[in-house]
Amino acid sequence: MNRIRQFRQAQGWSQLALAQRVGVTRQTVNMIENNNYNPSLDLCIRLAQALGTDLNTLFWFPEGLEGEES
Amino acid sequence: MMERLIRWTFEVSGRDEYQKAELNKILSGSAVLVYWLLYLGMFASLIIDGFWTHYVTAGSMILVIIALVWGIIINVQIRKHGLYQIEAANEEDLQKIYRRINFQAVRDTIIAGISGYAGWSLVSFAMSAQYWPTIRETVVFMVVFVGVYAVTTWRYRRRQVIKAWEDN
Repeated sequence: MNRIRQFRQAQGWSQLALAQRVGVTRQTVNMIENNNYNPSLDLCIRLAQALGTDLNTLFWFPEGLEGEES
Repeated sequence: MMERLIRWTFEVSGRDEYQKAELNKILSGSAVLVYWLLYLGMFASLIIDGFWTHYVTAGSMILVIIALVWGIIINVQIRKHGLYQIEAANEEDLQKIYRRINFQAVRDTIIAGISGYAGWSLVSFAMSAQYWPTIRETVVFMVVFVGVYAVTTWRYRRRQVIKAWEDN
């Protein structure tokens, strides 16, 4: 559960563009966006920095909102 | 070095963390599978030696050595990284863990005893053309094997328990 897709689309970036900015493959970004892979803290920070936000905004969901925003 | 070997063998590089994590999962799963297949091959080879040739062939010996070395390397690595350690939160928890260790030590000793006797019988059968051990030799082997296994297993497992409340 994360808002990576939402923030990426707001920037107008493709998955590949985001992947190149954080130094991973497009496949990894796709897996994270679809909740098929839990990234390391280091990668979470790089993603948050690249998308111009913080970890709380990108990964934290108040209770009950998980299903609505993912 | 290991990464280069993986790349050379399977032509996958594990370029980023997702790929590395998935690769590690696949390789660790297959390593366990191959470990058991190797044991199966080793026993099959020893049984065939016993029935057909009545002496242990070089191929069987190589399989035994590889299986033993593999088992030892994995165990040493697991111990080196403290993965056998169990933490007890308080005295009551500690007694519960000790009771579980006692049960596990008895269970594992019974399994090791059966396996040891099977191995002893198999080797005896394979070597029967040259030598057949007496009942006394078999009993001595089993007593020493089971005794050493039981004591070392039980002591080692108890030593792995960490009293967390003493660690300030």
